[in-house]
Amino acid sequence: MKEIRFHGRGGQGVVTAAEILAAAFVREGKFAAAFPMFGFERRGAPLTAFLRFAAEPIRERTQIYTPDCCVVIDPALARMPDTYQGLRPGGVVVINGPGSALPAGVAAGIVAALPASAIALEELRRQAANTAMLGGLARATGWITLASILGVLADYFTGAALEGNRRAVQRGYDEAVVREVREAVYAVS
Amino acid sequence: MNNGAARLLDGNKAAAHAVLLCRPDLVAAYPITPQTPLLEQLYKFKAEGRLVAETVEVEGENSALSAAMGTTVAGGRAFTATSSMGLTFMYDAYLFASGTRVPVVMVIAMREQTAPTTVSCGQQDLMMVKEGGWIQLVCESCQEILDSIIVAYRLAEDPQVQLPVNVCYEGYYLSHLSEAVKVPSQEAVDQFLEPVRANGNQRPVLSTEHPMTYGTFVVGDLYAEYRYKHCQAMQRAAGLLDSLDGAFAGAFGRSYGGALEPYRADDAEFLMVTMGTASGTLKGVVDQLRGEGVAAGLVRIRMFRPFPRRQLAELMRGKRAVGVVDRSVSFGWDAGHLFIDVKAAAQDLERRIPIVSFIGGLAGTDLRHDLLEGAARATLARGRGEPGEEVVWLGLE
Repeated sequence: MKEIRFHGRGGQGVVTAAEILAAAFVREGKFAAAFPMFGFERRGAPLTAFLRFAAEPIRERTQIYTPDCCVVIDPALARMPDTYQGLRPGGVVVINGPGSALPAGVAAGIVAALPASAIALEELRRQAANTAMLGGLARATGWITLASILGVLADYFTGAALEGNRRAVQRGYDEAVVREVREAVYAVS
Repeated sequence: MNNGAARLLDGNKAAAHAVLLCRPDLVAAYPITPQTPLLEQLYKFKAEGRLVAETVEVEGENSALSAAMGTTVAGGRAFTATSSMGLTFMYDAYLFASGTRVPVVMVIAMREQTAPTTVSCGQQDLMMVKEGGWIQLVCESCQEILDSIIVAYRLAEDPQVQLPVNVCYEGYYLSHLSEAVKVPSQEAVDQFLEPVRANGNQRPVLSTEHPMTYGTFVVGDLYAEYRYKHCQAMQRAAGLLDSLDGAFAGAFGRSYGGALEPYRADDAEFLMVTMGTASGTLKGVVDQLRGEGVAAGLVRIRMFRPFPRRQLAELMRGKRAVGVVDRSVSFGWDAGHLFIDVKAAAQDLERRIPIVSFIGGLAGTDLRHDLLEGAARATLARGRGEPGEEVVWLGLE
C-alpha cells in the first residue's frame, strides 16, 4: 500500500485531484480510497486530502501521517516545513513550481516541480492547478499511467473543461522536472 | 450473479445509488452537513430523469419524516436522510414512525451533537435515538452502505417486521471517502427487492375500500400489546437480517455476517468490539498483534438495534477481557454507549471478565492506529490480571 497526501487550499481542486487519482487507480484494477479533511469548508483555507492505493482491499479509514508522497498544489504551502510532516525518507514530493527548492530538513528522495498554475491559467483560464499536478505525479512516481488519468477525466469534466484538463494533465507530465535526491535515497537503502 | 461494475463513489453517492435502485416513490429530506451531498446526488438523478420519485423540499426534518410516513402508509416506498441536529429536530416524528410501524428507510450520516457546536464526525447523534424503536445498521465501507440500504427495505417492509430502519455511517470518514463500489444492475435489485407497485401491497395500507386508522389514541392494556408486538418484531428483524445476508450473498456475491462481523475472534484471548470505521484499523491492529503471537480478535457490531446480545455473548465466552471503542459518550454512565450494551450482554457469561471502555474520535478527531493499538494492548493487559481504568479517553490523557 502507498499513501499520498494532497495539500492545497479550498477552491484549488484538492479534493477533486485526490478523487480523480483514486478513480484512475480503480480503473487500473487496484484498490483506492480517498477522502478530504476540512474544518469548515471555505475558499482559501488550507485543506488536506488523503489517498491510499494497494493491490488488496484497503481497510484503514484514518488520516495519513507517514505519506510516501506529498502533492503540494498551493505554492505558499510548498515553502512550509510542516507541509511535509511525516514524509517517509526517500519519499516523493510534487510541487507547483517554477522552483523546486524544498524547506531545509525535508528528506525527499524524488522532487518533481512543474509550473502547474501557469499551465492551468493557459489551458483552463483559471487557477485550477490540480489536474496538471496529477500529470506531474504520474511522471515522478510511475505509480499510475498517464492514460489512466486521462481516461477518467470524462467522469469529472465535460466540453471545453474536459479538453482543457486533458491538455493540463499531459503538459503537467511533459513539463515536470524530476530530480533525484541521492543522499536521501542512500539514507533508506 | 450480477455484482455490478466497480466505480469510484463516496459514502453519500453510494447511498444515493442505492436509493435510486430501490425505486422510492418519495424522497423528502432537509439538507444538513455531512448528509447534504447525498441529497444533491438524488436531485441530480431526478434532473437527469433517472429518479422517478416525487421529491419534496420540506421546511425541516420533522416534515421530511412526516412526508415519508404519509407515503409509506399509503403503500409507497419512501426515503429520507439526516444528521445530528436534524435528527433531534425530527424526534417526535421519529418516535411516531416506529410506534406506528411505518417501514421508512432513513440514512444517518453520523455527526456530533451540539454543544459545543461542530459539524465533524461522531456517533453521538445515533446514540440520541438508540431507544427510539427503529432498526439501526452501522456500516464500515461505501459498498456496505449501498448494500445495506437495499437490504434495509427488505427488512423494513417484511410483514413479520414492519419497522423503520436507519442505515448509519460516519460523517467525512465514510460520507466523504471515495472508494471502488460495485453498483448492481436495476434488474438484479428488482429481483431482490420487489418494486412497490408489483408486490401487491402485502402490508396493511390506507385504503377507502378497507378503512383503517394509523396512530390512534391508545390507553391501558392495548398500549402494552403495541409495545410487546413492537419488541417481538425487533427480535424477528434480528433473525431476518441474518437470513437476508445469505440471500444477498446469493444474489450479489457479498456478505457482511448479519448482525455482527467477527474477525479472528474464535480462538482469541481477548476481543475488541466497535461499530463503524474504527473496525478497519482495528483489523490491522489484530493482525499486528497476531504477528507478535498475541491472540487478539475483533467483533464489529453491524446491527446496533436490536442489539445482538446473545451472539455477542457467545463470542465473548471464554475470553479474558473485552475492550469497547466508542465514538460517543454516555453522560449518565461516564462511558461509551456501546460499552454499556457490551457490559450488559456479558452478564450472560458464567465468569466475570474485565470490560474496558475506550472513548475516542470525537468531533472528527482521528482514531489513529497507534491509539487503537494502545487500546488493544491495555485490554490484553487487563485480561492478564493487570490493574487499569474502566474508562479510557483515547488521546486525552
